[in-house]
Amino acid sequence: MTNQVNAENSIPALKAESTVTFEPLSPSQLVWRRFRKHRMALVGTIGIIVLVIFIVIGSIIVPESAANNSDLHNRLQAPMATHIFGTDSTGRDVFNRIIYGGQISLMIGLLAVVLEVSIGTVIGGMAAFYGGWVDAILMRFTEAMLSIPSLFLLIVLAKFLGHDIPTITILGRTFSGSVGIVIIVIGLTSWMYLARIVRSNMLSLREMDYISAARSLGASNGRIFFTHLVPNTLGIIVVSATLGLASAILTEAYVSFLGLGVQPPTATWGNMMEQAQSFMTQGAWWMWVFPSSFIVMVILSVNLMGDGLRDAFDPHSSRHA
Amino acid sequence: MKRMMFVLVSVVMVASMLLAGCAGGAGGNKTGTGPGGSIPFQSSGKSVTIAFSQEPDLVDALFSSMSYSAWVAQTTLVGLGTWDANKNLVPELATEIPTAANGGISADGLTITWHLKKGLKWSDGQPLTSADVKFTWQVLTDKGNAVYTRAGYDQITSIDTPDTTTAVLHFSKLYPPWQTLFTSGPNNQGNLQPMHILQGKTGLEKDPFIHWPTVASGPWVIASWVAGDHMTLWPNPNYWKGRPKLDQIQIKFVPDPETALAALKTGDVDFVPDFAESDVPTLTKLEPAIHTRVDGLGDFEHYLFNMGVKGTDTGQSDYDGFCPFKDVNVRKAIILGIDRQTIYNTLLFGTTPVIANLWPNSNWTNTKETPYPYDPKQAESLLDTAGYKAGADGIRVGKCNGVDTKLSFNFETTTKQLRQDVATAVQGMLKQIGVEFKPNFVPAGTFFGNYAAGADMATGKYDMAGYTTGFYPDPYTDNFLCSSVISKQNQGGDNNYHICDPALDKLFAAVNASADPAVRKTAIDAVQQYLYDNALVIPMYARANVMAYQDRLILPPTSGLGGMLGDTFDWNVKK
Amino acid sequence: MWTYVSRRLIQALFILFIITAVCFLLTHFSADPMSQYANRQGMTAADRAAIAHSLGLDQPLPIQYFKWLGLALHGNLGDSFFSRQPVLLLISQRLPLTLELMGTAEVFIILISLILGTVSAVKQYSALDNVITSFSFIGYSMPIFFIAFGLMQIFAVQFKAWGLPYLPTGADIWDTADIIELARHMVLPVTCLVIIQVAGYSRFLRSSLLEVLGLDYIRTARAKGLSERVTLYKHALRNAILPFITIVGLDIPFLLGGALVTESIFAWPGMGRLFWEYAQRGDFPVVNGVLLLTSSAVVFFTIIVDVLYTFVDPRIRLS
Repeated sequence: MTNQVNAENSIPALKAESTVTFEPLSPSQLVWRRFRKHRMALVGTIGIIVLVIFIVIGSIIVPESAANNSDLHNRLQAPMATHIFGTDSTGRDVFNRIIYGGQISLMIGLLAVVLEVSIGTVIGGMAAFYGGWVDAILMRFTEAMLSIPSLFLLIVLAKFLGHDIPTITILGRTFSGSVGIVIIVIGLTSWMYLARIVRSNMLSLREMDYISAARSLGASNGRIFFTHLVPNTLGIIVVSATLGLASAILTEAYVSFLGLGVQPPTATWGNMMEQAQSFMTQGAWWMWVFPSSFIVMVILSVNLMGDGLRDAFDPHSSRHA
Repeated sequence: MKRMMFVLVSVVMVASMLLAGCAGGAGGNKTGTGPGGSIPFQSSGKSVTIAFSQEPDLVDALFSSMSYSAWVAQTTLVGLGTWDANKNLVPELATEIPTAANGGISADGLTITWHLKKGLKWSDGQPLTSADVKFTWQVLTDKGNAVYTRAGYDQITSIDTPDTTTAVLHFSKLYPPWQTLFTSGPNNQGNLQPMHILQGKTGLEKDPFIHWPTVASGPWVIASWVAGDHMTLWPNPNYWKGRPKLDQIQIKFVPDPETALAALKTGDVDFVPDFAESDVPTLTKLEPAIHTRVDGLGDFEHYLFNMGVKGTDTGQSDYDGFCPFKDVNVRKAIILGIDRQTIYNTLLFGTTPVIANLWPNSNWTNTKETPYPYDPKQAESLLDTAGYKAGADGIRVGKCNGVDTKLSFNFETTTKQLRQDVATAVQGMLKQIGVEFKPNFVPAGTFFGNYAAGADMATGKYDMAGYTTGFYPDPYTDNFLCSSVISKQNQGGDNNYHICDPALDKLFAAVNASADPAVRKTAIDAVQQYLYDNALVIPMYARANVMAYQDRLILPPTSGLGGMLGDTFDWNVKK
Repeated sequence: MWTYVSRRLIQALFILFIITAVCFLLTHFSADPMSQYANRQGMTAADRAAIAHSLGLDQPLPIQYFKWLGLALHGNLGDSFFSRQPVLLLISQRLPLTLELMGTAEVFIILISLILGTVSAVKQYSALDNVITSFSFIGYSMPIFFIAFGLMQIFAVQFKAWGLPYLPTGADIWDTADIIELARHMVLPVTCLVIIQVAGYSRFLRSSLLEVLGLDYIRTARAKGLSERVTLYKHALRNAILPFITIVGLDIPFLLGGALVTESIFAWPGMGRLFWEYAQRGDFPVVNGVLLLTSSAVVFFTIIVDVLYTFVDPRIRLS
């Protein structure tokens, strides 16, 4: 009798367990979980956060005038106690310029990405949503934009928009108007890839079973678009935006290096590189090593973060974390 | 699939190899006579390599605006005269310079007679005669030729050639700058063109000879030219002075002065003519293996005030200039507030002294003038007198034409590094006297655009601007005249200053009223004094040619007026 | 199939017409050719007007465009404003050098990306994979001028200073038919280009291959007893390579445009520098000619890649 498994007695244990509810994880929680397990992505994220904190605290401690303070008698000084990163060709402190340059470079990157994502999503989305000749025209337009070398577009836009906006004053700080130009130029020359990706993603989503199911239930096109297609494409958009940020910062460096970007005296990491180029043969290594190191650090961190996000968002990834 | 990729890849590789095969190979054979009758180079000869950071577009001074083109052009095609180290005109293909004393200039100054040396020949053996002089004039005045400039040549009504060595020029009215006609010099002046090759053709700018002259009257012939890469010069056996001391000059085209410097350091290149003033400290560190030479030029960098007055009459512009600039005290204060000496010491490394006027390094300079000193106190008191008092942010405010105006204005110039550095320094200096100077750097193509392109200087939409120009070898210029002010009614004008001052016009007119150099000197002195007293422009610094060369190269002294290669005849190398 | 191709071709011509018109317009605003003649002593307003007339700049813009288009359709791209030489001649002088540089680089890029991407995917998470991935990230994140200057500093300047056999800084290609010399000069610029592109492509191939390797039919192939190598090459790689081909194919036409920064730093006289130098001076015929060339190449390569794709992937037979 006592050896018999008492089914009645074991059921309360089961019952107790069954009262514990399992809440299914939401998609964003799933994404976060996968992201957390991606070590390099975390390193990248921490890197970005550290750099941003450095720039924010830096700009609170150091006044902007210190970054633009020229002191001809102290020009081209190697790093020393009073100027940790040395001075540039007119005696301005490189360390301070890295801080303020970082502000501008990051701001340009962020705003350019916002512009690029907006345009790309709208165009790609419209092409996928309407299909037919709207799709054909939009995609041909995208291809046309892709086939014009971006360098050429940069030259033209920089010149065309250039001389009408001398300086902008926001919140008491003055920026060279070329900051806005660069943002617009980068935004206008990098939306094409995103548009294509958004469109192809939405097109393939449209063929999925659950969309046909929704349609058979009577959902309108608009509802399908906004309730199903857009949220499921968000992942790709976020990933593209993150990688686009790295690309935008890189583009700003490239553009300023060619002399088409933000004009001094407003500092960016890119135009600090451009100024450094003329003094490289004079041995002023500190003028290019520091801005380029910071550029590389930011881009590397953002790329790592973006890579992690891509793996986190993609449920078909074979990474079993 | 993989096969397709393999095929694609091989096609790309093969195609590029084939095209590479078609592309290579320099022109000219190495035995016998070289192209155009030149003397081919033997490996035992003396050769010098030069680096240019821009490639000439075409090598004929009459049709190109590039200085690099003119430098090469003037080694191969020369004129009646040239400029020596003391900036005087001396004979080249002519026997002597025409003067009133030797009968070369008529009493009324309207007839000028040039005599060519006897027995001159082009490098291909054809004789060089006065017919070539007349032909050159015809080329320049032919409306079908897109020449760089006809100025002066269109004042010649006719040219007589009584014999093969005499050319008589008849002018319609007095033209004091006649020495710049038919002579080698700066600003791509006129060199003689060969009649036996170009006769009867028009639209010469497209002619292959204009692109690459195949015969020479000067010391060198262009033997080969590999586009984008290099050019080779060989001696002209028929040059009247004889053979140059060197046997070959090679010109290598590099993308920028940094590459040129690297090549100089490794010994791949012997001579680099176009460094910037800011390169001097780097270059002087390379002594004694590499020598640096700095020659002052008549070119200068100056800062200008927009003096425009809005209106539609002659001499008026589309826009008014910045109101405070109308007051001479404000202009003087700004000059006094810029420490030019420190700028020279730190950014220009003493390559040039502080200049007082716009005719530096020239026989025309007004030697009685001394530059405005750096005197911020005086500047501040002048601004106080003018009615501008410092506001809360330290920038002065005052009434101009009854309107409250802040002394805060834009300054526009190109993106060149040196200009940026100077402007930044000036910004800091002017802040100390309460003036807000806001630099704005635009690409050269935009900055120098014309009225139709909407460029700020041409349309008069700027406050202050800065650029380089020069008024030499002849001192006269029309850049300050009322009739040159650029406006909607006069879009082709030259007056970027938008200044219209009848008194100044009269002073300039006196410079060209006579051909007598002494009279002209007095007149140009008066012009310089007027510009100085009224602080109408700020002469910032004189430009300099900075060249660096290997120790093995021996260079003669030069005037800078013959271009960088004007004296290659006398170049030599050490044993 | 052929209706699809011909439809795309007609669309392509239409696109090209629009692109050239837009580019013509943009070029016009990008620089002013007459600025070369600004503030030159000795030139009068009449001289400048005469030159503007000879360049056709005094005519209304649409007329200038249609004249240019008319000539272009006959194969004549006009003459450079400044050197007065035919644009086709200028391009033909620079194009071979660009193709040599970019073509060689592209070959190495494709081969190395394939190898690294495949190894990285197959040996996922191994030490080798981590090393390759790290280098890819770093290479992907560096601006090209950083790499270029670094390489030049080490291999050209420092090696020479240390007495080691050194590579040239690129300033002295005298005879472009000499293959050995050419190769020596190509090493540094090709290495630069390869580092940057391989970083991106190998990661792309890796993720695309990983995705394919995780699919069911690969598991089936292995279960069938196929060797790992056959599974990899005959099944996985064949499919993973499709998106790889797409991106490589779409990048190929840009080879014609050269690589401006690399060419500038290494003094390589190619199309990139041609375009840049002439664009800055406002030499419209040259700029428009180069743009026509590159945009035609891009448009046609896009069609070629799309068509290739339909051959290779039977699921995509677009209606």
